[in-house]
Amino acid sequence: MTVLPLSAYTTLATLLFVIGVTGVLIKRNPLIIFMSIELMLNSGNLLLVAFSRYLGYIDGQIYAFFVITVAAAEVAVGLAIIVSVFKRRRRVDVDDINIMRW
Amino acid sequence: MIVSILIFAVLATVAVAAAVMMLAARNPVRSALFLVVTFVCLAGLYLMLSAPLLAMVQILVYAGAIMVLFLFVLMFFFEPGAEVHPRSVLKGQHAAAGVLVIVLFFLIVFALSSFSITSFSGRLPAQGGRVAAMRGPGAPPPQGFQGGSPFDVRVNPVPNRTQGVAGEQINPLLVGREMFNSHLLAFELTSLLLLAAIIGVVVLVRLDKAEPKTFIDEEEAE
Repeated sequence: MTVLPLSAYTTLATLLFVIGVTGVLIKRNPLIIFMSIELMLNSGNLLLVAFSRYLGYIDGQIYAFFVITVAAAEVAVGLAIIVSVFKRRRRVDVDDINIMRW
Repeated sequence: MIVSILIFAVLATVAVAAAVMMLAARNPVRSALFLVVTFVCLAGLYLMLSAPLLAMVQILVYAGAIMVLFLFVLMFFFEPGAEVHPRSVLKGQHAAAGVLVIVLFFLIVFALSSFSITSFSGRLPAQGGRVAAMRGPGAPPPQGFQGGSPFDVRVNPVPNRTQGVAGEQINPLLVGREMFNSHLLAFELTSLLLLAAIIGVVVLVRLDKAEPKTFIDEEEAE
């Protein structure tokens, strides 16, 4: 029995997404930026699961699994990039990523 | 009833508060731990949305694997407090970000509020009249929705998508069956993606034998 309106979940997901966007916009540590991206992906997942529940289709949950997998791959590659930047610069700031310029 | 509202309120509040604290924390390790709190709260919400398998995967993969990876990198490469380089913060960056983010929030809320579930019922296949059954007062309550507890593991059976789901109430079974029937190609492509990610990581962090271990930055060398 779902007593809560769907808008409760959508509002929560929106809030989390917006917090993630804020982190990407104002933070200078690329690791925190990555965490904010994770937060945004999670808010998307919450929305998928909520819609899956309220519409009665399980597909949303399956998509959420795929999103989690993609997030794991993205984090692995992103952290590897950060580590290799760190090995060159001895510190990490988002501005240091400009060494990836071609 | 009131219990599930209460649980939702607590979980949502803690999730949002921890997310805000993640941004407010000075120490990145604390940020990571606050993010773990948010993820655990989201897992609780998945339980409320009768997705127990996803809740477990959320805790295992996000809190267990991804955040541990973050913490490893943080603890190997960052000294607390030393990584803040306040040079070249754009002028008015925070203010502009705040304004834009508030605009974005109301934009998304507006976009989602113009959407109602009933507007979907016309687009769902005829057999999937579950939505109409949910809404219609005279319709018999659809199976899977009668659970009184907010934590019931039963999920709405997929309407007519897979045969023989009528009696099944176990979510992991349903998820697995659906994943390996309708989404098999995506599943296999995901394994390719993971393989590509593994290879990419190995190539990226490989120690180059030609370079000395402590590589001096080109700019500093000049």
